[in-house]
Amino acid sequence: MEKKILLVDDEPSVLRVLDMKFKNAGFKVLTASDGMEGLEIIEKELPDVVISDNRMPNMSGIDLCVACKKIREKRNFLFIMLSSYASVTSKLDREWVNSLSDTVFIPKPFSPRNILKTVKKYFADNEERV
Amino acid sequence: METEIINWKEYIDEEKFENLLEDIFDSQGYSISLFNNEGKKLVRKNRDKQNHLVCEELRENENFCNEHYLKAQEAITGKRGNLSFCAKNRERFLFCAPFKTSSGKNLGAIVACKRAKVFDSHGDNLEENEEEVNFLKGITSLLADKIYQDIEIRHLSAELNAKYEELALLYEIGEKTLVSDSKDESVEYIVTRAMETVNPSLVVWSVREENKNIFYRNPERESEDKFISDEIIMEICRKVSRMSSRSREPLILNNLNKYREFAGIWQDPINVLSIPLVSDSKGFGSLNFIECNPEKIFLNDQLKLMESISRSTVTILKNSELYEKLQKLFFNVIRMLLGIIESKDTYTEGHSKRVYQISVQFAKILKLSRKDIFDLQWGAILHDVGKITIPTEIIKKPGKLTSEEYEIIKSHPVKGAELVSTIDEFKNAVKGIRYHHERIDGKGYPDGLRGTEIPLIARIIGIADTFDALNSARPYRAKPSRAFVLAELKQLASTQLDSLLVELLLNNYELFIKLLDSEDYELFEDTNIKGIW
Repeated sequence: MEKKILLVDDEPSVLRVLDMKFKNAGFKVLTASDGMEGLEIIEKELPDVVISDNRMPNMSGIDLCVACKKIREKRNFLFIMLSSYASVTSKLDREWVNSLSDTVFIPKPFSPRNILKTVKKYFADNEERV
Repeated sequence: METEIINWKEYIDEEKFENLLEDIFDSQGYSISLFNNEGKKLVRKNRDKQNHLVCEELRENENFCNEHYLKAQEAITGKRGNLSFCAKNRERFLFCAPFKTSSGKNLGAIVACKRAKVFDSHGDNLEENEEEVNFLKGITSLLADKIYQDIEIRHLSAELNAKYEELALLYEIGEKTLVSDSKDESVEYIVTRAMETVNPSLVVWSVREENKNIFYRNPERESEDKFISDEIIMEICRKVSRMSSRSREPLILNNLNKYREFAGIWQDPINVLSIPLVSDSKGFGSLNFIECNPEKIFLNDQLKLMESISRSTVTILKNSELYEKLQKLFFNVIRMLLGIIESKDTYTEGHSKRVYQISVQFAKILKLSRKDIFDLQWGAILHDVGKITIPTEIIKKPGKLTSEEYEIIKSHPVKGAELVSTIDEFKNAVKGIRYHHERIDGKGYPDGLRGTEIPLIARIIGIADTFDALNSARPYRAKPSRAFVLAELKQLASTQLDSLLVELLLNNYELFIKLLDSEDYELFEDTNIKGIW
């Protein structure tokens, strides 16, 4: 089945690049430009993967991660948080995010190929588990 | 004018596009065909149901359509100017036009067709249908703009994607050059990361100075690539490397067979990307990316990325060369110092080196940290450096020393520590020098420290010093027997020497005794300073 992936970032160029990368790889791609919009789509569409920036207007990536905790308890999905190394994300936040299952931090600047690899590995591992 | 062939169908969302065509042309009663500028028909949208007849006729009479496509093609190439035109054939009305964007980019041709009676009942004079023609022209241009926009967005996204990869790669490599101090490890890391990005069959680092080729095979490609022997690859690398080093510029050679220099080297086409590793003053050889699949040619943007990577690599190589030079210079200075100390007393020849070896053996058994090992090593090597300040007559005096002379001898740890304390890196090693004559019972010198007040590295150097002295001949005695040394050591435990260290020494006695005669002492590869001897 076609996998659904949601990209959340207020930076259109990031959306553009990842959109192309994942479309080419055969994913169905949804996009949102902040956490708020992202959450709405998550609730409606139940994507298989969410890739989110951290620093965004209205709702940050961390807040989005907190907000969809309940949904993920019922039906987990891979949550990739893009974040710069700088102190934008505090160590505590990072530790909290890392403590969740199927949640990864990928530092910026990121390699799109690497992100695709992470996502593919997640699906391969999941299949193995099943 | 050269026409760039754009296979725009790859760039559009087909479903959406066909729906769009349907929305526009269906409502107007048209069937539509789109051609790319090679004349290949890419999209065909026929009105079904209501205009079933038209479709049938079109299919029967493809030539009619093609003929007009050719005319449209003439319009594209300029033979007929920039005109769209319409034609009427029996019951059909046909619109042919170049499929052009408003900025003049050529995407091919459009042919729209509908039953004439739906369209016009006034006969051949098409001028009267100007409005309809203008509508078609406008729509054509809008469609072309839309497609071209999509193409541009895709191109830009692809370029942006490449930039993201490049940035991530450069960032990682930048980090790597900061933390790693091993040259080979850094280069290997860079090559591996570059290999992931470019994905060639293999990468060969032709090292100029040592005249050797280091192969990095791509594990992802092993199963699909045809095997080419190392000799052939080396031959290729030798030639390519010479070419790129000479021009000092990166080089792309897609399909080697094309080039005279490589004629007959291998039956299948091989693609090579060669990046010279040159700084302003020196060449380090080249990185050669080799692709065995002839379809996968190297592109200019890969070359650009590899160019920036080669700059990082050259920086690493240059730094490591400078570091090695500095280290060599430094070792030479230390060696000179040791030569001076030991020339004062021929009986202690090689003493500093043995104390170093024994100390490092202790460090290994005690699993000391890298930092402690560093301090211990230099403390051990330089522990007697203060003897430089002591007159040779006193050191070499055969008879008993006067108490005055003895005081002078006893000053050497403090003098040595003072000398070495001017070197920042040896801030902690100084403790090993100053306190190596302290005794556990507090009766040592210079400060009379007791037990664990004496820093560990000084206790280690102390026992190593004593152990070597016990095993050495002296002007007044021959080399003592093993039994004598063992007895002495046991007696000195917990008076002069740390009893735990003595226990360690006795438990590993064979290991330590071997070190006294050994020339080979690769005890710590990572903190190795054996180059000093």
